[in-house]
Amino acid sequence: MALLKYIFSRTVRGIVSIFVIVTIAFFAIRLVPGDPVDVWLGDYATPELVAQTTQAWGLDKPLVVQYFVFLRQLAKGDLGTSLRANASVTYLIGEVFPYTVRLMIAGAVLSVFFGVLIGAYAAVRHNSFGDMASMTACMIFLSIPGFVLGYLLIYLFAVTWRIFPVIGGEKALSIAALWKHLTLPALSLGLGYAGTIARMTRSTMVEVLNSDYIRTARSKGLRQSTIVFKHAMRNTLTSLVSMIGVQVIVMLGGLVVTETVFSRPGLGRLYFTAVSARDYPLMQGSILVIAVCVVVVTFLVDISYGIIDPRIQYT
Amino acid sequence: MKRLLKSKMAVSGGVVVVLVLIASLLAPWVAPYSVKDFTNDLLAPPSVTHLFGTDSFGRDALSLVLHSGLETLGISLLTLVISGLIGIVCGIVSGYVGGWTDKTLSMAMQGIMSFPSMMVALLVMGIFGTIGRASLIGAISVTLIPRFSMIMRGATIPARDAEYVTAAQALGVSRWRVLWRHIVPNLVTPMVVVCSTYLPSIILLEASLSFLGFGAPPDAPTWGRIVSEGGKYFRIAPWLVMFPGTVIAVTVIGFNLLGEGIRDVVDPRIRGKLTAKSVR
Repeated sequence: MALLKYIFSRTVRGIVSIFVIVTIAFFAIRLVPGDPVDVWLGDYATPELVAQTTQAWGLDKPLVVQYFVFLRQLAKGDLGTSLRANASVTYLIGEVFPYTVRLMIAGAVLSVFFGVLIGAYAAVRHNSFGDMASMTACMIFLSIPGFVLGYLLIYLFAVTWRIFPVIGGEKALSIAALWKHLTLPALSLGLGYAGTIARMTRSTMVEVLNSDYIRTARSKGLRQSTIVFKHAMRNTLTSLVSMIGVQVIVMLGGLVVTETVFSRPGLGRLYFTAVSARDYPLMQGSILVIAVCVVVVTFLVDISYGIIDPRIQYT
Repeated sequence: MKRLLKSKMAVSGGVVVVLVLIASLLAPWVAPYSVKDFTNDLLAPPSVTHLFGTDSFGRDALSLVLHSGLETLGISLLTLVISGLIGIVCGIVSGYVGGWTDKTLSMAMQGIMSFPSMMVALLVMGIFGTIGRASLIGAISVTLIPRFSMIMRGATIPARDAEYVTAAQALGVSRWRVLWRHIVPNLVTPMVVVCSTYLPSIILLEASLSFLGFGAPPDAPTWGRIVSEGGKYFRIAPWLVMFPGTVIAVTVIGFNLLGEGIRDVVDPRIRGKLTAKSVR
């Protein structure tokens, strides 16, 4: 019951924060000088054409009216029409969203897998050569800009060894197609965060491994793997999950660069084009979707605490 | 300082940072060619005359990287100073004043922080213009101010509640004097830590944004932009991506190591818990 109540109150709060974000974005985008019509028409701008376009885009109405028109459309699930692409924003986002979801999942899985594994290894072999080597590798990965890592992977695996295709998104949903088109972008997106996750796993794990109950487990003669993955991991999991949640949100930001380098369709690239072109409705729509993603991830992380650690109560 | 010099990490990071800074500052003298030396030797591979090869305009890539170092590092340092100042002041005010000021500020800061930095920075640039150094600095600052502010707020609150502060207040010392003489000295360490932690992420964010073509005017080369230009030809001229990319990575590693060394020395408790990429 407590859980249901918690989920309900969190959902309400989530919806409110999405609403606030969208409202702030709506006014922030429109309140600043610079007219998208001027940018769009450029040298072709004649007074008549400007007036006509402004009216066609609904920009001639007062801001508050525009806002309510926007809200009314939003309630119907309509995010407006892109100023540039002449297609509905919902369509444009829906078109690329699956690609982004797949990339995010693949990137998150990779970074968590490598991060936790390397981190646990380094913690167990604390202060050994292996620890030093893996921590150095992590430092390198989290210092390489995503786009450089992307090009490096493309050069090695697609140009030199020709294992993977250079660019593009998966057209079919088969395992082969996913493997072919997702591996490199997911690696380029995930490796840097794997570095961060590994470092944090290591520091939490080192603390846990020094605690009394681990010594007890050792003295009982349990296997090392049982101690690390069953006993120690449980107590690192709470901090790990909150950290992974943060990393997944941060990873959303990495999408822009990764999708650009790999010329993959996706939300990041769509948002980037919208920003470059000052395409208000598209910017707005992308921000809404990103906000929803952020809220959902935060929500899942908060819910998972209680499942991982029964001592935590939902309030 | 002595302990800092003993830390291998800090020293190796410091050496890298100093070398990169000197090379960028002295670019007009150390760079073998000028940025405007267009030759017919297009996309030439690395050689003795052109260590990093040449770009699509026949310019020496090494010289380009050297000349643009100041742009990238200058913008990053300036951003650190601006966002650091604003963030630290906000954090101290938030923590010291408390009440509604604190609640409102914290909520706004947490709101910004809950979004990926890149997305926030792009939004700011979308609003204030995608080209222009001021807009770039503003965009990165908006993403960093909350982080500075929240950490400084966290450091201010225990200092504010310390007994000697209560004692000073009981003696009738003015608010400002309490703040300046009794609280701020406690905050110097976290300030140093915070600045050294976030500088690498500022450099990475700057590089990513300029890679996307945002920021400095198009004729000004920056590290990110050199890589993005090179990216167009990377199948035939991979060195145009690899060398400048390595320079960015090495610089960031240098700043990361230096930052971590500083952190270990001033505050051993947080070893390994803060890293650069957590911002991106």
